[in-house]
Amino acid sequence: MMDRRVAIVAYAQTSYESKKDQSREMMVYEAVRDLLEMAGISKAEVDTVVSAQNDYLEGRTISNMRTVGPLAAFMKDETKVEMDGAFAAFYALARVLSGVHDIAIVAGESMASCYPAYLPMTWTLDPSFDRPNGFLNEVSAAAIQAGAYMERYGVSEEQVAGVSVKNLGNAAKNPYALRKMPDIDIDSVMGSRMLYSPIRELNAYPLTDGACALLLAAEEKASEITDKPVWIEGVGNCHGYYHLGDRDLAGCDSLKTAAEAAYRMAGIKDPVKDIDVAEVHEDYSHEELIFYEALGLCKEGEGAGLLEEGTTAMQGSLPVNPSGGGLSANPMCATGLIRIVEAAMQLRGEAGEHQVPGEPAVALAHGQNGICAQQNAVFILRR
Amino acid sequence: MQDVEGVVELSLPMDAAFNWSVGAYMERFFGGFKHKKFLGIKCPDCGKVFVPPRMICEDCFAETEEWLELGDEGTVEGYTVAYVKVDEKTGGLADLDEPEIIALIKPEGADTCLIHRIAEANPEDIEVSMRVRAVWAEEIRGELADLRYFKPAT
Amino acid sequence: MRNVAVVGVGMSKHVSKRRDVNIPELVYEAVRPCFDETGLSPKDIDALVTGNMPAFEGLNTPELWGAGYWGGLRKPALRITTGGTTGMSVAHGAIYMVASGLYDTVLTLAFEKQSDGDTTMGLNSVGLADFANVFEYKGDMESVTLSFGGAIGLFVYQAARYMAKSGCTIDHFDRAAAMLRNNAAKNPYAHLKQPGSTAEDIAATRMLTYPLRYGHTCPASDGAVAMILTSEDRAGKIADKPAWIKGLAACSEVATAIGEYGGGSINIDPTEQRSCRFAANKAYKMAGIEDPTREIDLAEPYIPFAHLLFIYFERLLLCKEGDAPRLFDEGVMDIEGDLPTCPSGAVMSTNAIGASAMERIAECALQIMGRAGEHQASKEVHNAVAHGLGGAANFNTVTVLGDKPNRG
Repeated sequence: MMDRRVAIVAYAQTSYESKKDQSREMMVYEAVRDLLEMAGISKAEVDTVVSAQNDYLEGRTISNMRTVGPLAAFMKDETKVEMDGAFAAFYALARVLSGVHDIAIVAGESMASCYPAYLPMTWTLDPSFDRPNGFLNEVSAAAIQAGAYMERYGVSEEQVAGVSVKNLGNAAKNPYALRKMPDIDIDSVMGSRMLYSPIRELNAYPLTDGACALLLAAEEKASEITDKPVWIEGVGNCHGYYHLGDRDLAGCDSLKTAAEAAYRMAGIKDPVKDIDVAEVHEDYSHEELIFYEALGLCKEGEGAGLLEEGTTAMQGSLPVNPSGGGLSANPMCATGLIRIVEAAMQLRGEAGEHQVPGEPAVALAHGQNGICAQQNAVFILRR
Repeated sequence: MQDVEGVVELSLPMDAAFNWSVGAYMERFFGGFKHKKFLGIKCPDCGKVFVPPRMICEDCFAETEEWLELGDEGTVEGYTVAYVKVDEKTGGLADLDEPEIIALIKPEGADTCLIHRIAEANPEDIEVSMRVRAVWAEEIRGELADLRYFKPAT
Repeated sequence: MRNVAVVGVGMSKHVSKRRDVNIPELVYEAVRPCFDETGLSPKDIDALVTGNMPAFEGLNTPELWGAGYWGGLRKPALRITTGGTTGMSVAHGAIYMVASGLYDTVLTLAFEKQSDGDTTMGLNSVGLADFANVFEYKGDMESVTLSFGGAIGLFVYQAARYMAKSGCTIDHFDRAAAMLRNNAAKNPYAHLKQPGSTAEDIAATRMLTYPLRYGHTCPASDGAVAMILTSEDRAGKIADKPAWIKGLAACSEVATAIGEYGGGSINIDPTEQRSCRFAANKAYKMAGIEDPTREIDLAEPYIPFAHLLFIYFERLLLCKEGDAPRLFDEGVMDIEGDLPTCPSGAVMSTNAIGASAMERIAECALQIMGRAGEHQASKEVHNAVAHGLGGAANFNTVTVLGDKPNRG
């Protein structure tokens, strides 16, 4: 389905922290500088730059006006998506597939230490009803979804906590992660502060500062830059229902649709067999279980079983979030891009201490956008 | 150039007053509050009834037409108990003195839900499919604040 | 690049205040005609690309709420926001989505509902972070905005500099403004229509900051625009005369004059607009246009202020540097002229900011399709250039359209 092949040829991440002692511009510059260094190319060779940033998170209108320099975008065809970073990668892919551009920088970033925490997402709410009422925010909405899912399939809070235990335990081996908890167990999760039932603090993502970047190259250029290109074999992107009440909250239809498109493009017939490692963008632990089902890794309602069997653990047959996922670090606008980078690292065997064994050849990466994953993007990568 | 210790932080409060047009459909919906009723609107193609009303049925891409007068009761489709709320200044999650119940409520006769608070009830007594009834403000003005909360309709 | 065509265009009317509709409903008014005239429906659409400039409505990512109203439910979607260039950045996103081969038929739209917010505040917020260090030294908001002056601040320096370089006078700006107001009067979608407007009328308006008068400036509009783009396979089946995308390019430079953190910029001449020349060159090359001064039949540069008509006519390489005032005097830019420029009335007459740069493409498309009605150019339009400007005049986007697709 694609006229030319496009690969991820380099990547970079900053450390994820609750409060970085640097300006946003320096943080972005660090990521892009490291990216170009890894690629061994100069910025002159870059054709286009696509960043993911959000005016409200940045507190600046036209937020990309001042990242022209740090993004190595000076005098380049530079643009910005105001969405999660996985969507910036999606757009950059389209730019390279068109043939107009051969090499693209993709970057995503935000600093939770600079914006008023959970307020910006409340500004996505319908201003005629939900927003002025003040009941909904990203966490309370997630809690309603968690309740719906658990009620439908009889999943317990302890079972959901298992996702936090896995991911935050994995994060202990990820040098970039913000929240690493090597000794975490179900009790630690169940004992953490209750926010909106059933979501407790350790079921929810941490407020994070961070940036991430990757380099896409068309086939001809890819081999000049790296001998380990990670090919993008399939992508899917789906915009679901907005209102919570319109959705079947016990699932994630829009992820299902996005995944099906990506699988079709990449020739994935049986995801559990065909995919070796997955990085999904979970902001809350219950989301990961819902995502297993939407991705077709198991039947509806059986996500907890898949987790408990150990299939998605580091040593399992389909490790999910060996990096620690969104629960370990969630710099909004970067998180989905980080999943793509982490998946690429796994395929290249460069994930260090959190490398999954078995030389994975095919990876899935996922990013979400909007409250309760209203929009989803899925990538299938192959080495 | 001087060496600077750390990064200078600056807080720039910027006040912006927004004045959103809710649109004619929502205006009519709020008008229904004057009669302590929920007004719904129906899609001519699939028959879905929207409360609050919407001009377009997204599934059919059709303009809704028929207005319906519904009561002010509904059923709980989902809920959460809030122990925190979002602080209006810092945006952080501040503890609530008392837990609050936030619910997804399907008004009777509607095919969609609205999100609101349930009060005069204990969190332990809330369950999906229970019936609730709107509690209106003392003084009704035909605006959002008229709908104070929902309570169990026993 | 795979050939992409515009096969449908829809616009809402642009006015100062639409209190009767909310944002999704307003945008629907541009989307509906787009579907109606092409005979397509959401099931024919493979993807949706949208954008606006969020500062004006105080809504974070409004398409999350609105996309379902626009036929976007369950579609692949992108949101692109780049300030003043948004509309064209969004259109470029849609063009790439089709050109990539991933999608065949894409709906793209851009909008702004300025009446929901405070336009001055929204514009001031563009520069706020740049002046952070001024505030640190106890500078106050008022004096900062006086020197920066909302949107017009930077453009005032630009206008004065252009007058010095080219020798044109403020009278040129008055006459340019009058031409645009008259053009707008022929455009059913335009906001400010002043038929019979003369240079004297414009000159009689209040001077804001020399040399910009009130009559040289743009309104704040509520409005939306939508287009349907498709591949070569489908274009002929949907439209009799598709408008083909022949070239596209964007170029970002450092913020003009202010620089980052108010620390100054290498762009000390706001008329230079190197990024516009750069983008124009690239787009013309893609389009196979070797001599734009002869081969471009119509131009829709992004003109929120009258003086920009001359600057961008030159920066889009439509004439030699400094020649624009003379060519304007000769009537070249008139609707009946050799190179009609902004027959739509330009951004100066209609400015729902997020939509404006996309409307430049939409207007060129209408001209090529022969559907511009009263403001249709007299000459036949084979090739047209559309332009978007944004940021602190440091973002330039260019799109070249034609009545035939690129070959070879």
